[in-house]
Amino acid sequence: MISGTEIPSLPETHFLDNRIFTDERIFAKELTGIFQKVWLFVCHESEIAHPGDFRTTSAGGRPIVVVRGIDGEIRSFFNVCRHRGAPVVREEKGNAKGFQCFYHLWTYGLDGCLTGVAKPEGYERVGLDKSKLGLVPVRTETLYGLVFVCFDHQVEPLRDYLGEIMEGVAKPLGSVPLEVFHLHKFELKANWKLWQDNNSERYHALLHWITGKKSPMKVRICRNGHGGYWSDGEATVDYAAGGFAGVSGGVLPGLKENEQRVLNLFPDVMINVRSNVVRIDRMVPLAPGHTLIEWRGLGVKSDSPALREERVRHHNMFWGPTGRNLPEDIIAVEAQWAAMTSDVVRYSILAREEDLNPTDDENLRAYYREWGRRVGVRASAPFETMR
Amino acid sequence: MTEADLGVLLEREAIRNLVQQTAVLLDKEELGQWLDLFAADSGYEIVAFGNEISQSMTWWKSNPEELRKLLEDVPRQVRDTARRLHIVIPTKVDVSEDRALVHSNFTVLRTTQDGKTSVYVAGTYVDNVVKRSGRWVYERHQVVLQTRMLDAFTHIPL
Repeated sequence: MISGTEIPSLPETHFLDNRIFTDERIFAKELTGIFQKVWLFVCHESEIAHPGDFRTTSAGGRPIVVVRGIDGEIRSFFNVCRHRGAPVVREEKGNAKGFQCFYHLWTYGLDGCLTGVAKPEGYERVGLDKSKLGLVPVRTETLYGLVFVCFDHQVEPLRDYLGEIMEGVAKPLGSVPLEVFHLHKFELKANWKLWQDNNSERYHALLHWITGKKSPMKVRICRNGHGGYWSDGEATVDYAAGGFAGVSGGVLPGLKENEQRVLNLFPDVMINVRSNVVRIDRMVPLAPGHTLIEWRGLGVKSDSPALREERVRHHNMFWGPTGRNLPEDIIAVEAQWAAMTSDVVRYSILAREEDLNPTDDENLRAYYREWGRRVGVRASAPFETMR
Repeated sequence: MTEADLGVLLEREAIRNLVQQTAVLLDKEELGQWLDLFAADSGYEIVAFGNEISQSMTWWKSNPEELRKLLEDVPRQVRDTARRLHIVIPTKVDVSEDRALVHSNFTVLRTTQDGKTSVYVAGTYVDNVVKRSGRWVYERHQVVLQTRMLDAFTHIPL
């Protein structure tokens, strides 16, 4: 008798209990065990290029405003007024000399300091100390133009947290100024980890008939759950299959023509570099089956209009909302999650062992080892350890 | 009404028919016939303004040759199975001899396989049309989307 809930006869590292993707209790543990204790990518520095530029967003369930100060420093704060808890900044992006809460007009400097309260005479009797009522700062660091925040002051510095995996993009991201030319969002009806999995495992490339399959790439596994895959040589994407001409210029520093590199940063950031364009996925988990995804496309700031147009085209032909690749991934992951909620097949198999060839599952296994360590459960038997 | 006025009205009507035919063919997924509405040297674009980055984004830009290749491959791709219905209202048809500038507001309704309908996208077609061999065709067919968060992504034009 075949049963969908029978534990697979595999090492326990080689399968997952699918309820880690659907269960509310697991999701709550992730928010506290992971998202409050890691570095979270929030934006690219080009989005706040000038003094006074700001971006608002949500990270780890908390409202954030990221702002470049007059001194050029990038800082972040919780976007909540110290007076009565209203959001101080309501625009998603802009430029300001300071911030004023719309509700009772308390004002803050770009450095977060409380600079003024409306009708101050009303506070004279109690001696309100404005110096202690600035916006609450959030730890903020950048690497290769990527802006991250972290809510835990015990966590190692960003560069150490990300570690050696970033060597894969040090030259393309870090040696020339880049800027975001594309940003679109999507509310994924699936668990956030399934999107990370989709980008991590190359096995599903079988879904995409259009993608070139010459892939002499190797899976890279690094500490803290970060991983990726790329080649030290050629790794071709078949542009012609998409009806487009090949890359004719603008290959990013450190890459070969038609090379592809894929990085998956724990827990929720994916960097895909394909010869002349960069794609960055950022996730905001909202519920076990509800995830906001932001996709950014980046090019070189000094691009000529013609070169930028080519980058945009090469980005969008696969990775835009009308591309030939991304829509298929979305359909696959949403269908996968919907089926998982039935719990008629309880386990996912991560058992491919291929000496770190791109379709080896070892990067997924490494990711879920780190996930389990942080959440405090085993991904293969999450409720056993919770009891 | 002069004969010239009548001529302009008839040309406007023909152009409105072109726009409506565009929508009908997309809804039927008669993509080959849809392509026949384009001049050989024309272009198709989908653009949307990204508030987050304060600039316009080009999501799709193809000439007819590229479009034909992409659309021929659509049956081989895993794609959204929902049906679509365009509602198109031309709001501006400025004719000047054998050229015209046309603006049309549109929405696309999306009906999933279980029968649930929702508004998929809203936007404006901003079109340059030209009269070639006695019929109006697109020289540039630009889809300017207001909607930027889609319920599903798309392999076919909007």
